[in-house]
Amino acid sequence: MFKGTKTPIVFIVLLVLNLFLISLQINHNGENVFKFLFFKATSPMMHLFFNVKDSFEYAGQILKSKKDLVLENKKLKKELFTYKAEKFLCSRIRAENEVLKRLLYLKVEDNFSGVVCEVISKKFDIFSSSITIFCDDAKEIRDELPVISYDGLVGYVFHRSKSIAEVELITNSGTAISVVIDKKNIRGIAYGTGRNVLDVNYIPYSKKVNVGDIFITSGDDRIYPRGIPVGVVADVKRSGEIFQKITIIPIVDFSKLEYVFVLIPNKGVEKYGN
Amino acid sequence: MEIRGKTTFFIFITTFVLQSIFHRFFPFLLGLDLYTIFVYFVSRRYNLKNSMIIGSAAGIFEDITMAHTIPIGVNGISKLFVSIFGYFLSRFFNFENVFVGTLIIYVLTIVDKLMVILIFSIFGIPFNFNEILVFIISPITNSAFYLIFFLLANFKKWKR
Repeated sequence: MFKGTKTPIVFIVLLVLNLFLISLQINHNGENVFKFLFFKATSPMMHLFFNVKDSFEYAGQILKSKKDLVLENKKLKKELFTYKAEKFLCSRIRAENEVLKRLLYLKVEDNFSGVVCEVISKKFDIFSSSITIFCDDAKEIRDELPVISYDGLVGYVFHRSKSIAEVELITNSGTAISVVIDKKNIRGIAYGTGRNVLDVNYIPYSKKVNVGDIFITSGDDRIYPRGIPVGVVADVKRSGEIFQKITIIPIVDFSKLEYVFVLIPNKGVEKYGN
Repeated sequence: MEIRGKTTFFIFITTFVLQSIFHRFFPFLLGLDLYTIFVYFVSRRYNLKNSMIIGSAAGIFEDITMAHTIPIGVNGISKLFVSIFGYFLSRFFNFENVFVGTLIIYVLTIVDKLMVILIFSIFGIPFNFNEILVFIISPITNSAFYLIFFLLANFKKWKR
């Protein structure tokens, strides 16, 4: 473009001369115009440099925030686990509360009070079916006191030692309970079989018992108070004998028992029932 | 060179006088910049180095005579570039053709004004709407003046 070596030099000299002349007349806010031009010329480079610096700083912040997020995540997981555990405990407490509430409002006869006890162990076999209960206030608990749940009859206190008591279930072999179908006034005696059923004897053919009828305690045995549900009729056999052979299933599901109610007679009441 | 130098000096003085007259007495000739035409004339007849020197000097002189309306050196740079462009354009095109010459003047004036705007922008010098208007009209005024001047100068030749 420029022929000869002097032409470019002349061009540069003229350009610088003119720029110098302009710079003598212009002052940018008290700043030297050459300084101003230098910054103007290098501004793209500086912009690039600061952009890179900002990018690194931003990346650093991201890494830092990532580290914080990991820690926060761990903390939140821990909190979540705690809350889940608390929720589980709450659900347990709620269930327990439900049971206790039902026990509290259990309709029992006026002549006795009760003590709520926690079931701590269960044993079910053909020879002996029993549960072990723990009672905070076990002073008044003695042998042969009836034990019920909010559903119905459980059994009776077989043995007590301090706060622990063993309860023999109504299904236990050899147990006998005087029962009645309240509406029909059909009376009989329920015997434990060692299995999860009871046999009801001494009900004559003349009395019509249907599957689904509910037997309750009659109080005739002077052990269990009247009115506690015992079982539902599952089978009725008329096998030619004098009495019918009736099989009932206990109303209480012993496997799910958590709390029971030990009935204690009020002072002056020696026996239950009518 | 001696004769050419004197002629150039004479033309320059003429340009200065005419520019001053037009500027003073014919303000309606808005944006007329005879120095650009002068620089084009110089770039046609001189080599690039001398074109640049004369062009830049003319620009500085124009700045001085404009009584501090713009900083001295702005037109110096713009005319420096105009001389370079004029030098190459005059070598590539047939400047004897009236329309080509007019077009070259038009382009060179645009280059001149663009350079001024660029320098203003670089140095952060504010310019108002009137100056922008002058920058827009100036190429038209300049090329029109060049066309009239060329036709008058070649009137006898055409008459024959």
